[in-house]
Amino acid sequence: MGEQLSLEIGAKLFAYAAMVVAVGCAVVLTLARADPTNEMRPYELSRATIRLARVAGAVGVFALLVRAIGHAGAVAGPANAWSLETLRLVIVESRWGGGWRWQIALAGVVAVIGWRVRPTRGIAVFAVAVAGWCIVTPWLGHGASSLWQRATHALHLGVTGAWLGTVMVLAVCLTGTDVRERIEDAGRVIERFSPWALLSAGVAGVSGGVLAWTYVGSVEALVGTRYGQLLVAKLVSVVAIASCGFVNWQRARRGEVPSARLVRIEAGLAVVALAVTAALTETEHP
Amino acid sequence: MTRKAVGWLAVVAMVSASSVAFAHMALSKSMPAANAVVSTRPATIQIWFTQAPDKAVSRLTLIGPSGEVKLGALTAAADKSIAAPVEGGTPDGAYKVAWQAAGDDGHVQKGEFAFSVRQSR
Repeated sequence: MGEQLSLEIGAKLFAYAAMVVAVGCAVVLTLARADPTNEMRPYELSRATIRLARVAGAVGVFALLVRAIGHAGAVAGPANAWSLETLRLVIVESRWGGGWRWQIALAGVVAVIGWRVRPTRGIAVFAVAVAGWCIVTPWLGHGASSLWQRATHALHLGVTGAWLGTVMVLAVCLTGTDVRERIEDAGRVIERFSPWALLSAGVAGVSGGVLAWTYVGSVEALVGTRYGQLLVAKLVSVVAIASCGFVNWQRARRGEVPSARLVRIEAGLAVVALAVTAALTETEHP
Repeated sequence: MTRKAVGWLAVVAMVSASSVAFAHMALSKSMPAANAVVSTRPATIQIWFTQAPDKAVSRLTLIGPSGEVKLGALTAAADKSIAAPVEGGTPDGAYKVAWQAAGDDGHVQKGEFAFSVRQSR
């Protein structure tokens, strides 16, 4: 049972990370394309981002399939998790089958469009597919109970992706030996991204706060239950991420080059926050 | 300002009203009741939940003094319950009902409860 839970949490971490990175790819491609000064020729950064978008879509499909198998294992036991009959039961016959089908399909669409998108075209279609992926993700799990919860979760996922996903994409694109051509463009993208990051982080904080209060409901439950404690851990990691972002924002405001090291730390903390979120969604709330 | 305040009030009211309703699905009652001692043979095992269970992933098992007791086809009703007719024999003794179901969020819940049969002679 413990192994199965670990598998589900691990698969969720990859599925969430893939979706968040896909949102970040859409933001980076959009910001890199819409250069009002026309000083920027962001082809290297955009190409690196497109490669990442393809990986995100493929990882998303794989992680969602593993999650579906994990769900099948919870229904029919680990020994029957791989049987087509059980998978059919979960993905086709169960009430949440639509959620599974849509998520897997849209992650697949993101992966396929990732192969077609170019630095100067196809970005809007890619962004729409990614937005669809965010919308259908809450059709399973804690957010599936009502329409307003689905909408709030989808908004939370979208803005979290626009904030942390963009940071993760920039961190990956600025890692490696052959990044010289991307650094200058990334600096311009970060500069343009700052106000959007503030807005996204703000909306993520409000929507996350609303959802947290809905599930926890009291300060006692926040400190006295496993769900509440995980939520506090998530909050701590998000505050740490926001602090890194704030330092970089201050640097950008002073006209200094944003610190790539800080972006990488921020991205690492974002992975921690996603891991805590994956564990949170597998934990019964008070 | 007033419009803003009304907006915030609406959000708070919406969240407060909904916070009660979003717990995981849980067992609310059963027939026979948990730990009950029944004097007549139970014709059906029925369990009610706090949310409508999905029949596709629901399971019911009855274990008696001589092992598993045969149950008929499982049905799900509009009153948020699942039920199965008892087709096997139920002599006096202790019984355990194991159930599995999932509600709105898809999380598979499992549980069990016991009851005893003491038929009058």
